[in-house]
Amino acid sequence: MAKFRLQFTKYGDMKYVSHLDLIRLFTRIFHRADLPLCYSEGFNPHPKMSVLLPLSVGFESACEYIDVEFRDGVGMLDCMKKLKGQLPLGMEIPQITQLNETSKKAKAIRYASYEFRFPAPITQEQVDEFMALSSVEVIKKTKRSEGLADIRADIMDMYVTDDGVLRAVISAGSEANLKADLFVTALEKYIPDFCAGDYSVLRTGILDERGISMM
Amino acid sequence: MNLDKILKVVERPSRYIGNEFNSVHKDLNGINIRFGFCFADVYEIGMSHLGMKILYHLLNSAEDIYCERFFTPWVDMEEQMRKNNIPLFSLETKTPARDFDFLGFTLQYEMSYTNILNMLDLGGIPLRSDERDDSYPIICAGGPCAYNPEPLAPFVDLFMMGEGEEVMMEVMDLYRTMKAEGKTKDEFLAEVVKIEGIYVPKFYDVEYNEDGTIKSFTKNYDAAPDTVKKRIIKDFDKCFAPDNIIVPFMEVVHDRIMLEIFRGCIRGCRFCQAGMIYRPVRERSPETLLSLAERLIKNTGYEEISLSSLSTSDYTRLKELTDGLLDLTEEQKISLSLPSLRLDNFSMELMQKVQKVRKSGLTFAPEAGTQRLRDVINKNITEEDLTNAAQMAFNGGYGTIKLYFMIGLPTETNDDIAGIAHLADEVVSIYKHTPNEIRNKNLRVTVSVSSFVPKPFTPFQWVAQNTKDEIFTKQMFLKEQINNRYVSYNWHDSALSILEGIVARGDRKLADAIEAAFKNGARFDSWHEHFRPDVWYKAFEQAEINPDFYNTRERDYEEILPWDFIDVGVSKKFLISESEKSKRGETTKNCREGCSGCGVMQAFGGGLCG
Repeated sequence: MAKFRLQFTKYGDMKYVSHLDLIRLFTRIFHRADLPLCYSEGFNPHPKMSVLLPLSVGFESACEYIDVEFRDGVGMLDCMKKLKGQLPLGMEIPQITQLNETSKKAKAIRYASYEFRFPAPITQEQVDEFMALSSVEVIKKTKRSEGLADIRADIMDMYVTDDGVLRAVISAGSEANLKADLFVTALEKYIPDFCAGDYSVLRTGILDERGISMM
Repeated sequence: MNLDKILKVVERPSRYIGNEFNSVHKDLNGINIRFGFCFADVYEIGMSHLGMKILYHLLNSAEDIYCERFFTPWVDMEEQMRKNNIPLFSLETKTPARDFDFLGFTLQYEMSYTNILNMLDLGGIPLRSDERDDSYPIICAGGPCAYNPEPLAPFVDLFMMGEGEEVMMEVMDLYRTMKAEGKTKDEFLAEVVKIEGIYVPKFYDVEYNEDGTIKSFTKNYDAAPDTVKKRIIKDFDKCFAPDNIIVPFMEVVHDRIMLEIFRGCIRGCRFCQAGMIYRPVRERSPETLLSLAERLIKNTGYEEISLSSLSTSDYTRLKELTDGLLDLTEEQKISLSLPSLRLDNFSMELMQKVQKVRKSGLTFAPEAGTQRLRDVINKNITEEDLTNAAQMAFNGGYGTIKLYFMIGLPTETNDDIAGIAHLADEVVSIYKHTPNEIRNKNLRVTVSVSSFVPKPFTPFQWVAQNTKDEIFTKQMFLKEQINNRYVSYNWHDSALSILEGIVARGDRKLADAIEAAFKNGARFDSWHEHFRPDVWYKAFEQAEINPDFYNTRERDYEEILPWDFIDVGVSKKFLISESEKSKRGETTKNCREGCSGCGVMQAFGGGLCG
């Protein structure tokens, strides 16, 4: 038995493939690639794999992770080679690593980095003013309730590139999680005259507490 | 076409993106014919349909043909498309429907007809053939409902009768040649009608009697055939079967490999259209099927494989096939499902092997409550068959039994309906007599009752369908009869069955009503939440059509039926003889017990019925 972490991308129309569909998609990719999956015990065995941090439908990503267990004899190079030609357009697997006891677990995730492209670009001044705020309150919905929450502490850093792209690092993972669209709602609420419009989102990284990737 | 804006606001956007594994992508430079394969329902229904998979890959096997897919956008998507002026587009290249050479609709159920008109409309294509000039695609249609093409005749340029694998490429070959010669659509239609199986409605005129029945159905073009004969594949074992089917991103209704083991049915149930129109029975060999299954598993990565046919148990080499499949699937952790099995010792054993742990429910379809009525419909199972099967199921630890019936069958009386309740009680009593140690702890018997819809090309094509009131009275009568705490009873609103009955045996006049219904807003009629009978009845009024004429009227054998000009192989003489036998309560043997002389042998040459 060997456990691997695969980094994968969701570009283009792959952004419309939901989390559940993604699991099914990977099962079939591994079947086609002739990589023998390990299954759970029980009446209804399912393949042992998990996506580290689910991504909302409609967002692209350069950096997603899935952990998967294969039966004996599967090596990293083998894995890379076999997956070639089995991926749908928009999905690539740039990196694979074999996991061991010291590997980072999903619960080590603290932050995610994003790129936002707005039809009417945001300016560095607007961003600086926003970052100077001591509290940022938005309506946060959970499964059970809905209430005002201060998300200022969940916004670590952001800046505008020369191309007018907003790059931001915000909380992610099991301890504190800020959804990218809620973050944009906050920008709209607190930055005067800013309208997000028909924007697009690209996740660029999933990071641990030191800001290091999960690989 | 940038769809991002609307895909972000609709439900299940992956319905519209294409790019699934094994979907076909071609360089448009080398393409002579662009064919849009249309399924008039949502993606997850259309992508469950085996026929589409076959024809998609068959068409794409020709280098210069590019077949792309179209489905009906769900209501939220339609709203967005109309609001943003986005025309109906193909999944593969997002090309507007208008730019195709052909749009081909597969007609799987009558209640999808308003969706067809909606798709044309969304494509900016005039609904009626005579309103479309050469700049529009040729609209064609095929599939089981094409055997009564008349309600769609004004909308469709040409129909293909019978098995698409056989006729499709001949039509494409002719089109390729004529397109290169710069011929017009009319010239093409005048030529394509000479291919066997092709029906071009505009080459036929219909005259009516004062009572609305057909007076004459005559061709107005010499080269058009008097009768249009369906096409069949003679050697089904050697026939094209795709081994690289598309694997959808989203979960579709039948999200698995479907292995078509044979076509046709030996049974001859008199209410069943499929049992008549798909004759003769033709099987694929286990060798062919196992090799196909192996390739499909490898090329798709699917985790489930299912056998497909009208009656799995009638496959002559079932043991050989399932043994081979079990070897294949066990090794690769793939589950095998075996629908429409007849319950006997062999199938029980087989199910134990296949299911191993989970004991899900079993389904039986006696269809009618008494032996008398089962004889009338030629459903050749006896009460003893059912009780034996139930005993076997309970001995095997099954606790959930579903029983399927129809009400509104010809000659039905209250005794027959009460018989449904008696059969359910009988099943419960068998459970109670099964020893505690072996039987399942829980018992649940579900009686599910649908309303009978008479269909063309069946021995019941002449009978009157029950009215809404009659059906309702029968449903309520049965409800009173079922007084058993283990038995639950399901029935359906009859409005949809009645409408299906009207359209199924409709004629050309009905097209006006279908168009009016579409314009009144009818969409997705087969979806409970969208079906609006009021919209249809308003349409009948607008089109000055009395719907009762089509469904609650008994026809006599002399009447010219709208579909009489089509030859499905099964002869009218046979259908009449079956109809008469049903009135006398006489049964007909299945094809393997003895040939019933249905006519299909004479039509297609002997030695075919496998």
